[in-house]
Amino acid sequence: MLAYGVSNKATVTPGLSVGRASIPHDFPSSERSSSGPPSQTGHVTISPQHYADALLASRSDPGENLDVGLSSPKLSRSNAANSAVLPFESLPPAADDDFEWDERESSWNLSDSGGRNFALDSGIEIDVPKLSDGMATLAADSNTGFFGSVSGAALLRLIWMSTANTDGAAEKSDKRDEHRKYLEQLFEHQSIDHPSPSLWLRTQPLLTRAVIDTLVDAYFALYHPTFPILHEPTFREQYSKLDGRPGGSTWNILASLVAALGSFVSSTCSDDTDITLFNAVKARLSIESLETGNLTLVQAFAMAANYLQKRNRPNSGYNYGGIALRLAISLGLHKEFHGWETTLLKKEIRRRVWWSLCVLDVGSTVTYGRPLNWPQVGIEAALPLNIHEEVSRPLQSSKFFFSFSFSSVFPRLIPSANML
Amino acid sequence: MLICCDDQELSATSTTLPPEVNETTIYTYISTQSSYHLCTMQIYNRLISSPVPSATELMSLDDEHIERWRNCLPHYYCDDDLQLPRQYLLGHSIGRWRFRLLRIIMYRPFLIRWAQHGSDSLPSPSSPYPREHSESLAAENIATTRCFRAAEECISALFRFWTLGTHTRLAAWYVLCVVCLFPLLSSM
Repeated sequence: MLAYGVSNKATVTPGLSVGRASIPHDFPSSERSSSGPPSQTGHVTISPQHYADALLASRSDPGENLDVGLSSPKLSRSNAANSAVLPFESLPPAADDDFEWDERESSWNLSDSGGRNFALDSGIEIDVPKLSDGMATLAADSNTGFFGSVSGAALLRLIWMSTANTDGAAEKSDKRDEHRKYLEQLFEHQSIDHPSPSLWLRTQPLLTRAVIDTLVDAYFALYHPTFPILHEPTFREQYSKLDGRPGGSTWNILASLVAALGSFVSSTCSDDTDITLFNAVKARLSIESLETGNLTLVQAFAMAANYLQKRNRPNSGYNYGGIALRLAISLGLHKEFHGWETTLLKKEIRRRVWWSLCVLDVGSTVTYGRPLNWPQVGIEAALPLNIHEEVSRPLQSSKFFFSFSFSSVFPRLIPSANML
Repeated sequence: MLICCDDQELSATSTTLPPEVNETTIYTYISTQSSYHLCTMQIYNRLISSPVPSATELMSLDDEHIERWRNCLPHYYCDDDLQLPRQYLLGHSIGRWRFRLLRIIMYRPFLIRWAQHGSDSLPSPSSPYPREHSESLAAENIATTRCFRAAEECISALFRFWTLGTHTRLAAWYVLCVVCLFPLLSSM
């Protein structure tokens, strides 16, 4: 069993070998934390050429051992004063941008003849949600959250600003508006071709057991290989019983997420079944879900984070992922407990959950150019074993017909006349 | 519904850990990607910190962490055009794209500068900055080359996956997000 004590600057040969893998990493020392605030000298526009030249001005001599510890704001400001240009990180946001974001999507949105959406229950008018992509590549507009300099959004922003920095004030704003309009038209074109969720809801079929079976099979066949956070044999066993499952409603959340992701990954058209299923998940999650901790909840929040990212709601996914990470740490998934008298399978499942969460959380954080939340000291969990798992699949179509109410997918089951 | 278990599998009743296998499993992707992140966190932290890293430093970090991780991948999951079972193709491909995307991010400032100044990468005579030391200039040229190579390899790996892999929404999501970066770069 691995017991790797993380120490500052410890160097371990990376990579996998047959046998329990040790953690390959070079964790940075605690002193090498993020720098202080970026230098700012007001709203100075910057072209790619200026940015590149700024690298020369701010860079230390080659070969010098750079200290990436906290840099003093005074030093940063003096660098800016000398260079008269700003580093890439300091591209100023728009005047009206305070990085606030809203990715909410009411499940009861219906379009009226004017094209606006209304929440069925509250009667509150909700604007058409701003479209974004899950990797935040196109989130270069304002009020979409913070995305750092290494994100695709930052690169797009740089391109826009460099285009605006042409000679002639009129030409500058024209080109910038042109870019903006082009992207907006792209999104409008997409929404015309693919009906909004509101249209689908009007013709929504019942989610039968057979349909859910198919979605579960699709999840494990197409999604699970890149995100093996669930133990498939255990899940299928619980699913086949549909009672006595651990966690009560928490398991229902998990099953809905499996179905939602299965729907997302297997759909070949503009099918929004996954949205229905995810809304059922949200209906079961409450603020009280944050006041309890168990492995199923970690899996659920992580899967929800994954789903939201894939459904182009990066900030929402980021939040859910953060909750999953905190829950995981609170359950000690990052540790190895020698002498803990529990099953080997349980310990191994915990490792798989932890490292699945690592790939999800670190991957998305790096994509968004945000500082890492992933703990960089104190992790002991061994990497998952490279073993096969035999599972009897796929699920057979049920002889019985179960109907599900729209608001919750796995509630009280209504047996058919055949059963009675 | 019975779940098959034998001595080679881990079950609730197992009292010993089964031996690992020398081939791709459902957990190979997670393991290799986790080790990738652990190896490259230091690079990422450096990228988002001040001062901006030099080409020399970035290439050193690349060789020490990314290349070392790549060379230590198991033979059955190495960075190559492998004949894997279909269900593992997407994960393996993502692994091949991911570290190349990091390289593109690391080296793209130098590519941008090269694009602005031309192949000799010399600043204009009117530039207020001192002339670059020839060593750092050479390093930046190498960095630019690495950026191009990473992009070229990424496109090649993407094309191979799209030819062989299953075209699910998940696969399309990854491919589109990766592909988006290249037109952005070329529009500079």
